[in-house]
Amino acid sequence: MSTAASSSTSETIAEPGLKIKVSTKEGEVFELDEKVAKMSQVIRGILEDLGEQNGGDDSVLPLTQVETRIFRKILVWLKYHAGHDKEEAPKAEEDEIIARFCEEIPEWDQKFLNVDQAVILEIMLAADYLDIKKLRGLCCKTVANILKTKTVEQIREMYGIENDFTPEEEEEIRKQTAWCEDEPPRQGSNH
Amino acid sequence: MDPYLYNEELQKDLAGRNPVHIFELPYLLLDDIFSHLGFIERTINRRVCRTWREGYLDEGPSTLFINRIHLIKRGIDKRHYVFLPLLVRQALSRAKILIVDFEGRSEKEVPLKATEDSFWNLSKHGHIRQAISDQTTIRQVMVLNANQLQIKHSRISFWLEELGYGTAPQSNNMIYSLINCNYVFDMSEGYDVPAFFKSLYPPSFRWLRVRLPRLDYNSDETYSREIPHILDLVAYQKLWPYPIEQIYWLQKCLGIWDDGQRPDIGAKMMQDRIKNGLESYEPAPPYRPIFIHIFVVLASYLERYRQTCTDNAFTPPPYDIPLCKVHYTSPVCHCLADCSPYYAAFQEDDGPELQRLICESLELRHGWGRFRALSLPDRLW
Repeated sequence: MSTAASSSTSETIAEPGLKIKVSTKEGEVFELDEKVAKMSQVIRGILEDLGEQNGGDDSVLPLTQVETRIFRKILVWLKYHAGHDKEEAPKAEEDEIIARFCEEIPEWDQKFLNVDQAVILEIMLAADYLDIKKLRGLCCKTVANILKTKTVEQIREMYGIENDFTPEEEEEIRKQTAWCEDEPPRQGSNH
Repeated sequence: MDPYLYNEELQKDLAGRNPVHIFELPYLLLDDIFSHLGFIERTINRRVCRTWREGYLDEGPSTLFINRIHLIKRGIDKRHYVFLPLLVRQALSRAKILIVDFEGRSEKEVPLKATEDSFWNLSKHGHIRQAISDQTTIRQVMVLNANQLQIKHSRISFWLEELGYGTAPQSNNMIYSLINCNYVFDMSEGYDVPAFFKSLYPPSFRWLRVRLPRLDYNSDETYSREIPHILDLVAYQKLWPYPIEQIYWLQKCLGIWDDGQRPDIGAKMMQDRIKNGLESYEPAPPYRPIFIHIFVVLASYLERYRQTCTDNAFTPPPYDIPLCKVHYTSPVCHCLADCSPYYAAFQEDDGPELQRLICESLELRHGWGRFRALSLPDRLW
């Protein structure tokens, strides 16, 4: 298996341009192209702050909330999108809203997130921490798409969620959704 | 770059770990997940647990997305709808934008009848119009992918009125947008279409479908009764995108055409209608949009005749009428986008769909057969 991201000790391919060093929760150091690193608004912010303070090139930016195994995966996404995303004007708010509901997740990203949902949640948390808006949105949409395909009972089972409604409450809610939801197999079967 | 890279390792890694639970997500992240759900999915997921219901789903989103309308059950007991108005109100309580997606991305994807009936159930039993009227945050209503908006029956007018257009007190400050919608002109009875034009289409051909670019309008500029008319104008501009001089030219040509010759294109009758239309709709639109497709067909036919049959006294039109060499019996097809700036808008259209309609009627356009063997000058191509 090839390594999309390498720690500083094993990085062998030197690419032109400024390199940014970051360290994960476990202290592992990664060296990133500036363009890739700055896709994280958090890293971008730190770099700007360091720049103002004449921070040296040897600085290692600590990403204390991100585990190495997740950061390595995120780096795959960052490198791909740094190379493939077109430089285009940001979408208007309205276009973004329509895209949120109507656009399908691109094939590459679907494959990227073809992992257990628990991993998606970890990537989502890391993307949120690193402020990578697009990746965060992709993760949210992926989870939402999973929810759309499941029944209430399947969702409870999938997440281990306890049905904390009383039978009366559940019956009441069920009445409220009768116009769009199929009848349950058995009434009050979840208690 | 391989998108699957590290997927296996991460999967294996899960075995020895305590996986992140969805409840461990920060509020904003879980809220963001739910914000991708439509109205029906949000409604159903309220039943998962108390936290989801009370913490996230009882309160409406800032953008309410209504889709999968066809899933709304039809023919169920009316008492099942008793809670719907409350759910609609809750869902709209914080909404700034309401999006209704009819999901008519292709004709067969969602049966029109099912969508219409379901939307009717939703709007009628959910009192959507009243809910929109009663809340003040909403500023935009978008209708997406509405397939087969019919001019004749003004269904778009009905739908928009159900969404508060022209009736909600605050609608003066709202924008209504039609996005990726198309129109259908009814070619069947009810339209007084001359026999000649009917013969251009096969007997089963009842509709002329045109996908329109996006429309935005504010309801203080119009009144609900005018909606079909305004939409007609847009359709008119799309199909007949010429300045007024072009219609004068058409009128003049019809004056020259001898109805005694074949085919009878109803020139005299059309002349009268254009005249009446011009009088009643001056200055714009200059004629009843109901005749748009007839004008288009007539002009295209006369221009082909003028160019290929030398025994005529027609003057050239003031604005070039593009004639497709491939679809030689077609008044309008997507190819026109490449050869005329007037039809540039067709580049945005659903090409295969329009192309298919044109081709279906190819062999049945009797009056155009004579053009088959004649070649057109290249200048229009």
